Amino acid sequence: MNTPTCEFDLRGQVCPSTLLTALREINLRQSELKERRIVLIFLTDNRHATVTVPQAVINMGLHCEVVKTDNTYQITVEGNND
Amino acid sequence: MTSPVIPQQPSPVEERAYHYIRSKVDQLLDTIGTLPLNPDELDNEALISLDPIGIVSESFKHILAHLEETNQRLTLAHDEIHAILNAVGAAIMVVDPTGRIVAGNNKVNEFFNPGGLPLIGSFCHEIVCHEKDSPPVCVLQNVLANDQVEQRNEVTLNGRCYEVIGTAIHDHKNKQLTHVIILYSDITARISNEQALRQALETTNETKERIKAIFSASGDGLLVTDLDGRIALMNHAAAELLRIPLTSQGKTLDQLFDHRNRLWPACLELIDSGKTLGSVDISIGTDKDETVLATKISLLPRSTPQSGGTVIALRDVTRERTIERMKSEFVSTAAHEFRTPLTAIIGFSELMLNDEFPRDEQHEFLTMIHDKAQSLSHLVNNLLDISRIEAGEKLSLKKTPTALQFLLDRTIPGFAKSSTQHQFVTELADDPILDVDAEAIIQVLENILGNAVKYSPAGGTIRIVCTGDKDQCQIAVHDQGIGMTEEQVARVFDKFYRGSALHTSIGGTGLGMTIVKHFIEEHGGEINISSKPGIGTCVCFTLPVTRETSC
Repeated sequence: MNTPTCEFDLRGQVCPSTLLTALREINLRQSELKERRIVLIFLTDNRHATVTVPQAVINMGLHCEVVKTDNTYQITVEGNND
Repeated sequence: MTSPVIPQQPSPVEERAYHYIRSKVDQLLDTIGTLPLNPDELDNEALISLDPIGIVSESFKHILAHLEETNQRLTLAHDEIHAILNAVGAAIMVVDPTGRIVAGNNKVNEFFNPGGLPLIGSFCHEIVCHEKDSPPVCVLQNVLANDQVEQRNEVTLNGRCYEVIGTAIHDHKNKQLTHVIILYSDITARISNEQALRQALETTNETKERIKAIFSASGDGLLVTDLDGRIALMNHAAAELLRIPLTSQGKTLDQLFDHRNRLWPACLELIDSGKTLGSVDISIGTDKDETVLATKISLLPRSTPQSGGTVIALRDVTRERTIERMKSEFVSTAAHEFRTPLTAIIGFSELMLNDEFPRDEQHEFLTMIHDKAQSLSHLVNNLLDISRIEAGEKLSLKKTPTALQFLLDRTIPGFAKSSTQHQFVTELADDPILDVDAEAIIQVLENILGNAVKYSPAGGTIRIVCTGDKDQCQIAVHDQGIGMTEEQVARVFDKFYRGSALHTSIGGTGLGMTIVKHFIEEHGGEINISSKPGIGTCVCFTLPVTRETSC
């Protein structure tokens, strides 16, 4: 069964605004993420965010994956398997 | 017309408040690891509406919750590892690169630290090997030097034997070796058991070889089968006796022999009976070349329902069984031979005791009694002779120069008188003087002529032909009787053997020809027989000649 996704286009924003926006969305959906009921996708063109967002996400015990397509980074956040 | 809204400049107090908020937000962002807020990108109003302190605080709350969870997991994992370490039968300790012990299980104290020195913080060489400078085998040093798993077998420490394994632990980030786990398994009992096992194996192999040698060297046939009758082991003698190739091992007795062979049925009977020993005689071959084998069957002890089997010892008893049969026949024949003359003696003597008879009739009866008594005497003499031959006694021959004609005159007339159906013809080139015991040779001639008469029931000519030279005389007695087969001829000198045993009308004990051969050989002569069934028999023997004149 595919988990519903929620995508946020943060392109054009600079860090730390990107990080704060991402953290806000993650905070709002913390329990859904932990229970693997939702996957959040953040699109950004800010390279610094590809480091700061995953670091914060991992510290929260969530899984994070960064994929680059053209000039956009796709940061996927979801709950851990365990 | 409305006038444009001019942003109100913050008061100095508000400015200080914004500045404070920005500095705290930057401090929090720095903690998270990102850049400080740029006032050009986020004005005061946006700053307040975004609520970065709230966001970061909420994030910290989740990070702390996760850390707490992780900490709980780590505590549980630590407890689990501790329990596992203490449950392991081996001593396990963790040391830093200097050899200082940072962790260890109960077995470390049990094996190496009975005095109860503080384990954590001590150096491993102080606890385990007690060699400060150069321990005999330092697994730690080898792991540090090679940075790979180090295994040492049979390391002796404190009088016990250990298997020691050292494994390096590396830092995840910089991959540096941080600790070494050293495991000590006490293998003293295992080594001792292995030695005992090796010794037992050697003893077993020696015993096996010894049994194999005895098995091969045994003159008796020996055979080992499983409970299905499958041959597991067989020596040469068994293969020869059973007339099967040695390669028959692996086949079952059922496959090798037909239903007439009683060996496997006897084994099955023994297995079913619960007894441990059994025996049976079996026949191998056809009537012409039959051999009789005496078998002794023993059951192998069973350690499991599937194990066990039989050990079969085989011995060729063809000759023994034949002799037993012949002896049995002899007893029957001898009884008959005794009874016939005794019946006549008793009958005629009773007649004479009960009634008066004229003198000529009395003479006739007494002659009959005398003849039958002589016959009995002859029979008893034969038995005594054979008894002496059996005992290996030498005959005390009274050799005197004796004319052959004299010997023939003492024997032929008696047969000629009693058997009118036969004609006796003698062919003597001259009358040789023999160097013999006359009584013994008369016994020889009576036996040979007696057989010639008995085995020519239809009558015919019995020729006695004498040839010879200055040293020996050859005497041949030919008859025209029923003759014998080659097998019968081959066995004619055997004790108790009667060629025509089935021919019940012909009497005899089966001892005569055995005595004849012995007497002839005692004189230094030889005896041979040639015969054809339905044609007749020729008994030919030699005797020594002397130049002296007869008495």
